[in-house]
Amino acid sequence: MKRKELFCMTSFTVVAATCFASVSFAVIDNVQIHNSTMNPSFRIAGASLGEVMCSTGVSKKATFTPVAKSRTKEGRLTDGKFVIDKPGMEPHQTGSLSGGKSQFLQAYVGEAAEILILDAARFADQNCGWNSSNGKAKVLVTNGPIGVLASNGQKTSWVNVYKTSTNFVHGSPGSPQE
Amino acid sequence: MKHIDITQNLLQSKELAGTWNLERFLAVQSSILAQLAESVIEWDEGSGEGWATVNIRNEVAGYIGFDTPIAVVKSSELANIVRLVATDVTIIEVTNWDLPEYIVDLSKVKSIFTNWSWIFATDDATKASKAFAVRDLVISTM
Repeated sequence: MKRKELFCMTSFTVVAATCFASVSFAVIDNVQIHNSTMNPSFRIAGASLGEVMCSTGVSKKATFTPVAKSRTKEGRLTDGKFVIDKPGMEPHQTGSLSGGKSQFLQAYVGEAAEILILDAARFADQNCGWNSSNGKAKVLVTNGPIGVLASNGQKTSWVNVYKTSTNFVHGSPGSPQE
Repeated sequence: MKHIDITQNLLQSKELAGTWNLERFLAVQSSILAQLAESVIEWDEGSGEGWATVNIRNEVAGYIGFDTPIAVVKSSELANIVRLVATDVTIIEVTNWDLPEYIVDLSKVKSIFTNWSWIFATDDATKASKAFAVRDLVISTM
């Protein structure tokens, strides 16, 4: 694995199992990125301990253990609790900002985006909590950036995750937490 | 439970989408903030969120649509302000954010609003329902 960037602190990363040969993101030590095209169960092994950021602005040390992914009988990607709402993510994967929607970077489109969102949702569950008014959580991906903002074209490492009362989730690149 | 069909509300707002833009969307927000002293509006412009969340005294009073001229409101005060500043906004007034009491005719809206898979959001057939909570509609189109 290539090391994308160096951070001074031990960084927690939301693992995105990028399946594409062209880019291989370094996560952190002791975490293996499993190529989901090789294993239909999308297993991600390993755990990490580091500093994480929640939307409350408070950073905290936490252990995050990604869970295995699978597909529902309708073909939706799931981690056993959350289910990806694929249409909800499509506006953020067109490759164009002209629709006024933030866009995932190329390495995070398709299945990689779905895995990222499932992991972010699980992480929010474990650490950040959810805004009950709009079902939203903000998670920082410390080995980002993961997308580009619609308002100014700037790259962002923040992910907005939204969940319904039935645990359908979708997400998008989000503005940095102020 | 009696269900509330909002098919026509959604179709009406979609018809007027061409007249809706960022400037008008922000004008509604400014008007709300100017007239409701205790209001706070959340909207992630960078993400292009589909709705602005309007909170009054730390409670959700309503949501203003970004993609089409539509508002879902619980506060009559908020509804009146939106009507004054943008008369063509379709307003759905609700009493409960989380009660699954809303329905749509999917045959009429599916081709226009493509994001409806969440409505059948469970693999458990015993729980599948075509009625939904209005907050779930907002979240799924956020």
